[in-house]
Amino acid sequence: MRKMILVMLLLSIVLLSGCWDRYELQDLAIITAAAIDVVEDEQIRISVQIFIPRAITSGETGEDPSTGSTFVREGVGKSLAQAVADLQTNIPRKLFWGQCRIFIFGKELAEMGIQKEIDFLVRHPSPRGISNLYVSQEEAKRMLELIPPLERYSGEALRKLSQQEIGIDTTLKDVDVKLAGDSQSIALPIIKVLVSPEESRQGNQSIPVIDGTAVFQRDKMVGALNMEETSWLLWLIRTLKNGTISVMPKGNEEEVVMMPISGNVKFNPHISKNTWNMTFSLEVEANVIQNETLLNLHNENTVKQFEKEIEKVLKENLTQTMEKLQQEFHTDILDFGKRFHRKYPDEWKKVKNNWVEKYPEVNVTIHVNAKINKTGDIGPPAAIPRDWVEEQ
Amino acid sequence: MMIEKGRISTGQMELLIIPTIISTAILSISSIDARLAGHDMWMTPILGSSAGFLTVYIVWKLHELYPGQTPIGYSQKLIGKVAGSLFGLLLILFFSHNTGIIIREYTGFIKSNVLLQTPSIVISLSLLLVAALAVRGGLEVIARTAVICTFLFLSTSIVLLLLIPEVELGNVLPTFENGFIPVLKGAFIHQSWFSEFFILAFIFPFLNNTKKGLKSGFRAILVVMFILCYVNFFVLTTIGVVAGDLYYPVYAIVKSISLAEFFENFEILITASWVLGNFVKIAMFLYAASLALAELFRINDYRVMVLPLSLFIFFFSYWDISNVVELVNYMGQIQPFYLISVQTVIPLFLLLIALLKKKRSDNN
Repeated sequence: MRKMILVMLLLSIVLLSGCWDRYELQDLAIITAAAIDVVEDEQIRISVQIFIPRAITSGETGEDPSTGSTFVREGVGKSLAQAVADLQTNIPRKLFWGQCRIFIFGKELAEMGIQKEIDFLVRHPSPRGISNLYVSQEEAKRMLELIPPLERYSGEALRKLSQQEIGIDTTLKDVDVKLAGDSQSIALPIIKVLVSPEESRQGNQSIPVIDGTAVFQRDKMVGALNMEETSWLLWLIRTLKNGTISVMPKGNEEEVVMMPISGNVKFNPHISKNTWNMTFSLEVEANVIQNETLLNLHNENTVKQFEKEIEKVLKENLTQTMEKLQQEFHTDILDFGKRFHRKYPDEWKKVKNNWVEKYPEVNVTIHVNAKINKTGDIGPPAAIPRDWVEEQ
Repeated sequence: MMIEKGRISTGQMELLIIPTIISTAILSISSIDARLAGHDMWMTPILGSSAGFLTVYIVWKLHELYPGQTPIGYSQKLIGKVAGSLFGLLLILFFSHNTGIIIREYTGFIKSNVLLQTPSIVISLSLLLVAALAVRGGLEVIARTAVICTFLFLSTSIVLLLLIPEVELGNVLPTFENGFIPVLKGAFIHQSWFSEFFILAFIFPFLNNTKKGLKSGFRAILVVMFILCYVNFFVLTTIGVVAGDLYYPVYAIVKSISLAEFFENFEILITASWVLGNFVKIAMFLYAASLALAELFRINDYRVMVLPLSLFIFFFSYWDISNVVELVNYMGQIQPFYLISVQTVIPLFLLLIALLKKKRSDNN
C-alpha cells in the first residue's frame, strides 16, 4: 500500500504541473476583435486587433494616447482558415480567441456571401456563440485601426454601442440558427467610422458607430437600411426604448416629440383560402418630452388626438419598412417563415422550398395602439405667456 | 459465494446509478435527438425511460428469486453450467467493451474542447486509474465517493437556469409535425441508456435493506428522466433543431450563457463537474466487470482483477472507435440494439426461464 501511495505521489508530479495545456499570459496574443475582408484574387484577409498588456500597466507615467493599447496584424489566404494560419506566422505569441467577441465583415465580402466564414467560426472551438457580428461600410480592417479617445480599444467601444439597442443586435449563434432555419435571412448592423468634429483629434482617433442595417438573403447581403429605417425595423422586432417619435398635430407647423417607455409586439400568422396573412400588433406607451407647439397638454382631448397621430405615424412608417423588406429585398428577417411553420405545419411543407417566392405575397396588416402616459412635468408649453397657449 | 463484503444503502445506490446513466447521455444524446425527433425532442426521455422501468423490474424479480446472487451466479443455475458461463463471459466482455467506449467518449470530449494539446492517453489513463483505485477499495468506497461526486455533478445543472432569458418557448412548436414516429425514434436512442440500469443486478445483492431496492431503482429512473428532459428542453428552446448539427449541444448552450455580462464561462465548471460524473460511471462499470470476472473464474478476491481489466478496457477504448463521427454513428445506429439486447432482452429470457422453473417446482 505504501508503495502504491509513493507511485501515486510521483505520478502526480507529472500530472499536476499542468503540462501540455498550460499557457502563461506572456505566451498569448489576446485578440479583442477581428475583421474579415476580401482582397484581390478573391483571397480572404483576416485582421485582428491584439491587446498590448504593457500599455495598461504603464498608465501612471502617462501613456501616449495616439498609439493606443492595441495593434493590428493581418493574414491572407484562400480561405479564412488559411488566412488565420498565415496570421499566426506573423505573431510570435499564440493567438488567443477566448476574449474576441467582435467579428466585422467587409461589405464586399458580405455581398459575396459569408457562409464559408461562418462555418469556420462555428466549427472552431474558441470563438463564442455570443460574439457580435457587423458589416463594415468600408474596409473592415479600418475599424480595428481606430483609437477611441474614451475606451481602451475600438472593439470595446463597438461592444458598448451594441448594448445600447441603437441598431440590430445579431450574434454568431443567431446567424447559424437563422440561416439553417425556416426564414433563411439575417440582418447585421452596418458600422462606419465616426467623423469627429474636433479638429484637434487626428483622423485615427475615433470610434466605429452603427450606421444602419445590412439585410441578407441567405448568406449574401442584398441591401441596406439607413439609420431611420433601422429604427422602424427595431419597432417591428422589439419596442425601441431610446428612440424618439415626433408627430405634427393638425393645423400646426411645429412638432411634439415623444419617447416610448414600454411596449409589446405580437405577430399573428393566419391562412385563409390560400391567402397568407400576417397581423402585426404593436402596443406602445410613450411620454411627451418636448412640445414645440402652443397646445396645452393638460387637455385630455389634445392628448387623445396625439395618441391617434402616433398610431398614424407608426403605421405609415412600419408599413413602408415592411414593404421594403418584402418587395425590394425579399428577406424574411422578421421570421415570418418560422411563425407560419409553427402554426400551420402542413401548409408550410408545401411552400417550404420556394418560400422566397411566397414571402412577398404574404399580406401584412399592421395594428398600432398607442397610449400617452405622461406629458412631462408641465402641461402647457414652457416659457410662453399664458394667453398665447391654444386650449384646443 | 460472496466476494463483496460491503453493504450500501438504497440512497447510496441511487447516487451511484444516476450519474452512471446521465454522464454520457447528456453529452451528445440531445444532438441525436434533435436530428431524429426535431421539435419533439423534449418528450423523448419520457418514452425512453420505459426501457429503464422494464430492465429494473426484470433485474429485481431475478434478485427476488435468487437473493444474494449476481447474474453470473443465477445464470448458471438457470440455463446450465456451460450456457451460463458463456453468458457470464459475454457480460464481462460487454462491460469491458462498453466501459472502453465510455472512456473514449470522455477522452474525445475533453481532448476536443478543454485540453487541446494534452495527449489523449493521459486523459483516459488518469481517470481510469482513479476509478480503478476506487474499485479496489470496494463497493462501499465507490458508494461513498459517489455521494460527493454525484452531488457536485448534479448541482451544476442549476447553471442551465441562467439561460431562461434566452428561452424561446415557440421552438417547441409545431408538436408532432411528422407524426409520432420521430418521437419513437428519439425514444429508441434513449432506451439504450436506460437499459444500463441493468447494472443494478450487481448492486441489489449488496443492499443493507434489500426490500426497498425496486422502489429506489424506479426513483432513480425518474430522476434520470427528469434531468434528461430538463437538458433537452433547454437545448431545444435556446438553439432549436440546429442542435442536431453540433456534437456537444449542451456544452454549446452553456458556453453561450452571458447574464448581465458577468455570469459567463460556465463551461469549465460544467466540464469539471462532469468529470466527476464520469468517474462514477467508469468506476461502476469497472466494478461490475471485475466482480463478474472474479465470480466466473471463482477467484476469492476480485481486487486482483481490477488493474489488469483496466488495461484491457483502456485498449478497448482505442480499438473500437476511431473518431467522433464514428462514435456518434455508433450511438445512433448500433448502440440502441446492442445495449438493449444484452441488458434487457437476455435478462428477460432468464426471468422467463426462472418463472417457468419456479412454477414447475411449485407444482411438484
